[in-house]
Amino acid sequence: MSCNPAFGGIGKGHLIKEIDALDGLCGRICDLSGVHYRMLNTRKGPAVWGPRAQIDRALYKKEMQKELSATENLELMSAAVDNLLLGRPTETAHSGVKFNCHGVILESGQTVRAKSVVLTTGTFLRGEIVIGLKSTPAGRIGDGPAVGLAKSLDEAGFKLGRLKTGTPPRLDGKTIDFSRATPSLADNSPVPFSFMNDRVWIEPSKQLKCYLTYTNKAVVDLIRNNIHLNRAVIRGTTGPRYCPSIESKVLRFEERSHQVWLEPEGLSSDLIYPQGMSCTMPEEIQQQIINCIPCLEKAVMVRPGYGVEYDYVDPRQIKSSLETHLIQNLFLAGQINGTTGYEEAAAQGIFAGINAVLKGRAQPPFTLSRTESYVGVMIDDLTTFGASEPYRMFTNRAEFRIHLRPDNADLRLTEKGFRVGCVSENRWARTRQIRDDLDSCLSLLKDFKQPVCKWRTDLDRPEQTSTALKSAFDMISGDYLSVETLAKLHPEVFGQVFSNPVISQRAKIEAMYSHALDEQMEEVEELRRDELIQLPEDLEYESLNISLESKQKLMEIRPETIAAAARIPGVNQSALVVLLRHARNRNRGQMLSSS
Amino acid sequence: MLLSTFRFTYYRSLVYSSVLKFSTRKSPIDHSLDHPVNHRGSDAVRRKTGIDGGTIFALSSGGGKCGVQVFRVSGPGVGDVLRMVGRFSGDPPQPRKAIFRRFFHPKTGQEIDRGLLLWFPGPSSFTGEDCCELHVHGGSAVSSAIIDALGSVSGLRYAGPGEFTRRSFQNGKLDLTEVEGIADLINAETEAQRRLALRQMNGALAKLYAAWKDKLLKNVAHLEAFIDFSEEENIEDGVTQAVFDNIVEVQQDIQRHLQDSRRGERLRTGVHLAIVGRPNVGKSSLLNTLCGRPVAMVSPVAGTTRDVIETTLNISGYPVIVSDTAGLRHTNEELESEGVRRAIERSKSSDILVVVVDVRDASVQRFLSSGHSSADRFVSRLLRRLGVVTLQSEGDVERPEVILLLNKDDLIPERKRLELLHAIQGRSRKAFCCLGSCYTEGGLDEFLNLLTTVLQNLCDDSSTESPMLTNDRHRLHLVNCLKFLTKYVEEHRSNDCVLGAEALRRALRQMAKVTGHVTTVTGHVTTTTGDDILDVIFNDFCIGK
Repeated sequence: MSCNPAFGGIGKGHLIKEIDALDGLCGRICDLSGVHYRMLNTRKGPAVWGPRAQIDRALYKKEMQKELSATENLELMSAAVDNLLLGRPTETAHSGVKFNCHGVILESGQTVRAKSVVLTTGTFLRGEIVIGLKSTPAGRIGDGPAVGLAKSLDEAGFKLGRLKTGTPPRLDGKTIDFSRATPSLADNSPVPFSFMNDRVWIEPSKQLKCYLTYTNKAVVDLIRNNIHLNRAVIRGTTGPRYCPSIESKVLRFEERSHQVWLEPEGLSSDLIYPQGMSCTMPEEIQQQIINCIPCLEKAVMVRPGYGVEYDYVDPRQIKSSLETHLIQNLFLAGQINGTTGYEEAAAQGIFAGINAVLKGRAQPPFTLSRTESYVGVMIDDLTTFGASEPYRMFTNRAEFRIHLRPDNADLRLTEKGFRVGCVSENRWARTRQIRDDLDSCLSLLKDFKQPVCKWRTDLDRPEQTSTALKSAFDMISGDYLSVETLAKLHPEVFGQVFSNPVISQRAKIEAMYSHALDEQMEEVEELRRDELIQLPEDLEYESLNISLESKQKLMEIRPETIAAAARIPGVNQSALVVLLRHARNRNRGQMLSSS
Repeated sequence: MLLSTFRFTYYRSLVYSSVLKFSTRKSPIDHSLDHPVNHRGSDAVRRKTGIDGGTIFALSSGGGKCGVQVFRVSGPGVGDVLRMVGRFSGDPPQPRKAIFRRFFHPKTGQEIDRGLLLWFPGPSSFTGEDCCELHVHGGSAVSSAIIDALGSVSGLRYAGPGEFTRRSFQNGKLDLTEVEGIADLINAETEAQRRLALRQMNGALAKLYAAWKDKLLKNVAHLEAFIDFSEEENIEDGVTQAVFDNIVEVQQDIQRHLQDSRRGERLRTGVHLAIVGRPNVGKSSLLNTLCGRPVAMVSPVAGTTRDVIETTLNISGYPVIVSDTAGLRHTNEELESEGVRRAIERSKSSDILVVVVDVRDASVQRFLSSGHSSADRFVSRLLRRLGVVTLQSEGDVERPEVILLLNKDDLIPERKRLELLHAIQGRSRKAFCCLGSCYTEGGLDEFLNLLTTVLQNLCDDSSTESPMLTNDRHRLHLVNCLKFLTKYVEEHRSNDCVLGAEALRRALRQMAKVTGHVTTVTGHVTTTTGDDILDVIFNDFCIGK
């Protein structure tokens, strides 16, 4: 964790749940290292609940390393990679493939051979740190950039772009007057990230607090008067719109006061991370800005904030398996694909990892659809639209948001993961158990029917003569009846199933969305049908009678399905119709994502 | 009387029979299939029209006897046409300049005609592809020779209906409402239709829909910002309430637009007018007089007309589908009673009802002698007695406009005629009544004036210049959009704003389908509007930590 000491959130929490459902690590490690767990958006629908936690940086690192070193058949090496070991593509490859990756060459000159390689360069690719007017080549503070690797990607023919991100200064917590800030309390009963856990490691009462304070007019003036000292603002490299530096926020929305969250870095650390204060002003100005803010008048800055600019590969050059079009057996994941955030990176990491293994075993790739996961939405967005700014997950990116919920990620993905081999026997058994319990609970609810008039007397509502039958499932879908009340009303039927709080909550959520889900199923099916129409990888777009713009876009992106082609801006309807002639229906047996 | 019905007069000033072929079906879904351009997104429709590239040509001007006819060619093979038919070697002609040229048949080498040639290199052309136009002399001999010549150029084929327009849409030259405007323009053969089609092509409708789409988009974005960011960011309180208020506004606007009494659609497909009345009051004579030719058989025998007879007329520039129906009376004769049933059915689905009454009828006498009862009441009583309007349907919004024609006024004394005229004029508030004779044609000018007024009320939006709903496809998506907006309004009260947001997102998708800026393969919207939503969010809110 090189930026903020937190995991999850709205959209990001969804990703962690999906990573966990595929037996990825970050959710389980967060359950072992969090110091402040909070479920966001609880006042909105469960489809957009966002599990989030402040994490103890040191603890996370420790637990992660422990888990990794205990993993069988895993050999860890730490060294700087300078170049790729490239050879000629295999004979079956189509004309767009230029090389075959056989491994990497380290800075020392040593080669490491591999059947497949996953590059996760973070902000290191020709990384450059910016503070004030100074810029220094570095991947992050204290680490050198990866220049050789960037060059080899460039030479291999990849289209590279440049993005920037930033991190706020770190403060000494002992010098902050928390008494005047608004405290934000953690949840009384923290919800674990992982489907494998029933509780998190920490005692709820021992959780740390976060605090909220605000910027003021003095901050605006300081930034305005010193803007000429800010290289990042002057140069204007593409930064994320949703994670802007305090400078750009102040310049764009001057009249407002902006939130500053004071977040602890860990149980044994005094460092405070002032979220919202990402900043690239000169060091001394940063200190002055901080001291303008209420509660921070005497705060001491331990390390200045800084901006990082780095190379990324236009992700339209990778396939939905995250393998590159240009180089066989080379996979890219994380910021190199133009994303930002731990969760986005982790999701691509596990996905690229799974596919790197499958490729090595000469098995067909593992893919996830937009209709079944946020991971699928992210990868489809990246490979279709590219990234003009660092890509972050939001729930509004998912068309089928009411289906892609944090609560059902296991039912959506774990079986698929088990079939492809990335999910342990243990987890699959637990998921099966949950699935069976939930199924029997739902059938109980659906089978239990009584007349509306009876329900009304049960619920002490004005009497009515209607004798129409309504199931318990229908009744709990609205706001009138909670599972608890239902269990009390009919303990002989529901007492036992509702003794499991996880199952009863999940059943309630299923009921809430079942109607809307039914309505959306047709759209889901339509998209799935389009996703089944596959375009051959070696399709000669040059020879097609389609518009020049469509041709260029299709040649650049090489969509794998009609659904993907249809989403490419600039590919028109007549081109799609022409493509249909060259498409074929994907062999169902070959499709891992069909269930 | 018998003789009179065979005298036909041609009302050149107001009425002429036309060759218009309007669909007489009323279902909004069926109807659009009758039009050459169809973008409803159905897979089957698209397969039928077979968009498969190639170079297309067609006679773009009206055929038949004329001075000049224009052929249009579009597609990659236009260069071949210039070379083989226009005999250009080397450089193509100067773009967009009319050039006098001799045209040759590529196979026989014979000269066909001399005329003008225009060359429009893509993408600066109507379709966005390479295009050329040949302006040749009129007459079917020339046109068939040109068609033969162009057809013999390899890769060229005669265009399917609306194919030029479809290509321009696909190449981003027009948006869907504009395309439909052009299709309607091609169909528009009457003045009023031409005006409406022109207005739509100029984008008045496109502008209206775009404004709604923008408003929906903005509010979807604000609700999405609330969902994705309000927990940790400064999203102002009350953003959800503001969204709700705005959506209710859009909801009402669309509702009003849909309830425009189907004005635009009437203008496009024709106004339905039914002539009803007791047997032998002169309904068929009225039809024949209006048409200027014997469309319906007439005789003094009651019950001559058994089935509904339908014909299309142009009345004061409005397309009108006139139905003559069987006389309404109780009968045991099987065939006639079926005719009566059909007459009543037709009267219910019509926009205008012309009730013909013999001026000597006892009811007219009663009305006259009552001295004070209003003409309006007389008309509604009459309708009830004829059985064409039931009590329930009287309060109905979609109730047809009624015109009462008291026929055969030449058969009553002049003094009585004047008295009656005075009574229907003085004692009528809303009802359209007139007095006349299909035999002498006296009073029929007045009848046509009344009819024109009613047509204007039905078809023109006199209050504003706001564009009217002219297309069934628009109506379909707007109705769907409205359905989702209503769902959002219902969900707004529940705790889960995600369900409300879902409804709103679907409403936005329906609106996007109206303007056609969505890519579809199997008929569904595959373009995510996600990025547009994010653009609005970041523009309107300060998101960021």
